Amino acid sequence: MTLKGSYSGKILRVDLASEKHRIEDLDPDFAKTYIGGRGFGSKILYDELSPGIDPLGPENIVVFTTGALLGTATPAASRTTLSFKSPLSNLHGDAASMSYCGVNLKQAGYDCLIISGKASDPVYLFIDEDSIELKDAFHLWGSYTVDAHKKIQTELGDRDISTACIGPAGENKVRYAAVMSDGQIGTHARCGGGAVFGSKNLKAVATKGQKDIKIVDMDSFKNAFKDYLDVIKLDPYVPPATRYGTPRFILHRAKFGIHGAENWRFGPYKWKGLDPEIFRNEYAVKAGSCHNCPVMCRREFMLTQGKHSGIVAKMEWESIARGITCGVVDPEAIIYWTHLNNLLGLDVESVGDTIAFAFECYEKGLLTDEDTDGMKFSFGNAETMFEATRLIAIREGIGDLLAEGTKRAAEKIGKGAERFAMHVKGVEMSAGDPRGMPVRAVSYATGTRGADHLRSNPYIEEFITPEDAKKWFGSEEASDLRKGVKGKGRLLKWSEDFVTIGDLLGLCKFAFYRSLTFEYLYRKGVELATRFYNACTGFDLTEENMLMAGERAFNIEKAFNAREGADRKDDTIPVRFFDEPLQGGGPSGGTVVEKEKFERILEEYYEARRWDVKTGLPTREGLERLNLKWIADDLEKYGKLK
Amino acid sequence: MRKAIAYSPRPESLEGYCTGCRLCERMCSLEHFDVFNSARSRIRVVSFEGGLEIPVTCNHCGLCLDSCPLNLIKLDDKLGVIKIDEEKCNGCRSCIEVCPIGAITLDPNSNKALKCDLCGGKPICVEYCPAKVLALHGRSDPEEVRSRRREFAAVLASEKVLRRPSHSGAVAIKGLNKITKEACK
Repeated sequence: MTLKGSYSGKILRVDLASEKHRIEDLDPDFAKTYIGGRGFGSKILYDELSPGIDPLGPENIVVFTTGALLGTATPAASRTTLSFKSPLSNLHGDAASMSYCGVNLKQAGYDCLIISGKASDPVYLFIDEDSIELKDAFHLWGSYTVDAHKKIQTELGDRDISTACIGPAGENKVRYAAVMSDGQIGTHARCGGGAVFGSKNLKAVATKGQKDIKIVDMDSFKNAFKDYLDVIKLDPYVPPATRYGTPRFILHRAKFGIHGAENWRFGPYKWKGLDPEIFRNEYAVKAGSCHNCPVMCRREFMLTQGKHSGIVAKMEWESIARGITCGVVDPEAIIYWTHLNNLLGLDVESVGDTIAFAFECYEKGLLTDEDTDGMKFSFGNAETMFEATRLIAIREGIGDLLAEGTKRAAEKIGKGAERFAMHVKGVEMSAGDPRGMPVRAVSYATGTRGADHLRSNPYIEEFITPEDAKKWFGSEEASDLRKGVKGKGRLLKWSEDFVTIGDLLGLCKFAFYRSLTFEYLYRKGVELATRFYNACTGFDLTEENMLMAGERAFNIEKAFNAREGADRKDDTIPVRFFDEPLQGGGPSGGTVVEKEKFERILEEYYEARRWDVKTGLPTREGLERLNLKWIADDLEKYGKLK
Repeated sequence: MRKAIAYSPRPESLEGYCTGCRLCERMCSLEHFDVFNSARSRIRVVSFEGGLEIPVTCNHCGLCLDSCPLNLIKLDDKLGVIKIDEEKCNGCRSCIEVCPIGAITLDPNSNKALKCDLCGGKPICVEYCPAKVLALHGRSDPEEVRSRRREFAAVLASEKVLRRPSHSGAVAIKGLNKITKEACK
């Protein structure tokens, strides 16, 4: 078997300590088995890291992996994944983003870039096809992401150069620092990749490439493209996405009353000032899109008046959501705060949750004026939110404590602060409140990189018909949003495998893995994705093969976490969701995540995954079914196989 | 009748501008070379800070006609298109120098000049543009193209899209430059 089509065919390794690089061939079997993107990243991470290493030590690696379809004209094929051991969770970590840096890497000839070791002085890595250089970055150290990006472009004298760089937060090893792509056009946000960059004294990776990305079957490709356009024409999910971008999700959160306001205590909240129409009419620059995307949900927001007039921030829904978590409902404050996070290189989700955690600790008297240097840490206080964000990035005053993330900060504060730390496996919460909807709660618990709404798609339960639920997940109950239990575990497992395909291929989840009907969801996410893949690479994967590839990547990550010592007790959610009824009334008001239902769904999920129900650890049978015998053998050595 | 692809935004709608997705670039290289490679595209999306993108391609003005020392640039009267005979091009860049809008580029693989040829009359970029902001216009009726451009320019001048954002200026953050070389060790 030879490698054809849209793979570049090489893997580049760069060691920062020895300043040496090595180029390896990409094995066709490897490509077909792990597909690309997160699949490559997870496999390489499992292979090359020994358990127990310090994520911020020189032993950690950063793996850039380009989606298998990145660089082709496949709609929304725009995602590049960074994989690393997360300094937040000490488990598997990865973060994907729209990235020109990834496209250039692929056009430079590499599907995958593995960075190891620690540089003795600040450097950035410049890859221009066959020329691979480490350049001094001391003059860039301390600069904002957007400035570092521009300075690199200027000093290399080429506007076609793309970067993935960190801001001051990453340099200071804030545990949830992000890696920003091209200044602020995209964010590899979650799990703290920026801190790993910082720990390696690596300011940025700059790439340039002009090699061809090939395709095997042009007619099939064009047919699949046409069919994709036909599907999204009918898909009710798409028009609001095109009109509003992601700020539209506030309508979804308002519908179910699950805003997670004031550190995840209140369901409904005073959100009217954050209506998507307001963002569209007052602040949106214009519709934008990531690579090749007809959905066009990307937005830059601009402030044209007030104290911060003149700034333009690339912002998504999660910024607004975490603004609400801190009690801030002023759109201009949220846009400015997002801008701050972009410049400093921070993950808005973790920052928002951490500041909300500090606000509640202050409210409960666990943090005092002495700790906060006299600042009033109260919900809704936007100025404090800005200042806290700044302090976190430079690790000064209370910022030094909060930069450790909610889990570690709570341990340091003690006195029961753990109750207010909203995280799963150390990674802060994202998206909406799971109370009243049990499978969402389980989906946060089972995510391999911590609390995450992009690791699965349990939202299927909102629109799937009872017939489809019976056919796909073995029980009509799976379509019952609040009461259903049976079939939910299988639904969750399927949806995790399903969205993982997007990460393997580099497809955006909003363009392929969200819909308002099951039929369109399946057609986009499995059928068309497989057809695009086969047309571009010449392989002949079936839809089942593709889903299984997603399952394989997920299992490798699970095995990585198991080897690090995580098991069923880590697959849980913050205790608040179990025992504090959601406040503020509304459709989900007064509900909790019922522990008994939670456990039953989790158990059904483990069974569907063929993992051990009692411990949550992988089994030999489950792994060998996915051709992962090598992992089963390895786990056995560590006593982590059931 | 001479024709050209023109950027035809619909300034009345937020979804009526180029979104910067660069599908045109990739489809262009696919159509002409059977590969995806923006560097070999005959249409380029130029990005400005603050979220503004403008696609640039040849407007078939004819200034390059006399520039080629080998006389390889000709007007195809039937299709209404100015074409370079790429087979024979030796990469001297004379046409690139004379083009006022930078619509002619050099193929990084073959070192030959690349210019929009309207795909033989049915441009693939126009067909695939997701925002539907590329249109094939008759160049002998320039007023049509010009009026659209004027409308677009008016919007840019008056609305927020054109204004240059002041990234760091507006956000002076204290304490950023305290990092010393020792701290990096």
